[in-house]
Amino acid sequence: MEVPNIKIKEKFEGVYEKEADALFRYCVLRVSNRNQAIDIIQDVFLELWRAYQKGEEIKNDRAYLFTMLRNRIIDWYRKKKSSSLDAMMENPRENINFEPIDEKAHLEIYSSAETRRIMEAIETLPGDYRDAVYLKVAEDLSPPEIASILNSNTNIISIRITRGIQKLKKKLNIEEFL
Amino acid sequence: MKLENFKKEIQNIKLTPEEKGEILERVLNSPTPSPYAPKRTRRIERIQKSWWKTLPKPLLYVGVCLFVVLIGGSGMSYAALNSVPGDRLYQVKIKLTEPVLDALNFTPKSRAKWEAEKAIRRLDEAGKLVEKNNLTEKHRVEIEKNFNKSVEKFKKEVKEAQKDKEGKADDLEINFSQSLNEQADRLKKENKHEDKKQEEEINQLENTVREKIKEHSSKKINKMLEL
Repeated sequence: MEVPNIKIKEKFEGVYEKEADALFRYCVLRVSNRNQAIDIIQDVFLELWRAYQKGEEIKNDRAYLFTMLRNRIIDWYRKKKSSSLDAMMENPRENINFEPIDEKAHLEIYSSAETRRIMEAIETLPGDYRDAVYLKVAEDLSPPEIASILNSNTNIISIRITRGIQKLKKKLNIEEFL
Repeated sequence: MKLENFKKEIQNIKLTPEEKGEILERVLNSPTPSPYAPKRTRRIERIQKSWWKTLPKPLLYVGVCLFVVLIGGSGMSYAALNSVPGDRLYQVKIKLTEPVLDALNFTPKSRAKWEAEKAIRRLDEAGKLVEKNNLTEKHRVEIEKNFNKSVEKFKKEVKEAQKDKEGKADDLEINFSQSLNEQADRLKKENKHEDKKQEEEINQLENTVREKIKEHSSKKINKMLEL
């Protein structure tokens, strides 16, 4: 078995320390389940680790990780939707929610009602605006960084952030938000 | 709520130190994939290969049903080709398969040829029924009706073909006359049937064919065939 290069391992650990929490936050707010979010980000970091081991050149680790994460979340939603539909078709009268209710897993994600309200408002924004606004207000990333994550143009991202926050203020009736 | 407060609260959502450590350990201790293992295709390639999996399920079900109906329909049409009056698929042949083939003939000459073929088919069907001793009055009437229809259409298309190119429809008329004569002779042979009822029906059909031959024959063609 090939022994991984120590430098690669150190680099990976550095990226992991820096990005793990942000990725976890993004994921858990989407899937609303802590254990599921942990599984997903583990897979994502595993992909990165494998890429490093193969010697693949990754220009922007953060963009790579977020892209992988968004794809995984989409896959998860699709799987969840199809299994729900299948279950409904087989047992239309039974409860289709097969996940056991684990209190620890369903811990209240938000510490305050106000935070929850703002996050829920962000979730209702159109898809293009939602991620840009979230990465700006929650992670404080710059438009060029967000553009590289969302594979878009900096100008477009700036516009989306501005308009997204305007919509948010309108929804929440908050003038002093930003 | 101010932005800073919101950001602080959101940033509190994070992995515990234990969770972080466990994930890192699992990732670093995961087995190294073999260089000889088949490569995992990229997501876009997987989607391109199994694009149908990305379709919404109702659309997928409709597509499969349409495909089954199309294949089933084609198979049924093919199976209907050899059917005779009295068979379940005969109506499919007369009302579906042959009308579809009608539409595939675009010129008067090709349409005339096709009508002639249909007329001969009707007589072949009669022959098959005779072999099975199953040429009833009902079947004979049905065959005659369709036969007469095809003969009339043949005459009409021949007239149209003659308008375009003088004399070029003669070969159609000659061939059709010859075929009708052969069929009439065949029916005459089969007329000596043990079953009297069957013999009656064959006789009736032979008379219909001979009448059509008389109507159809023109002086020109008779001269050519030396009738």
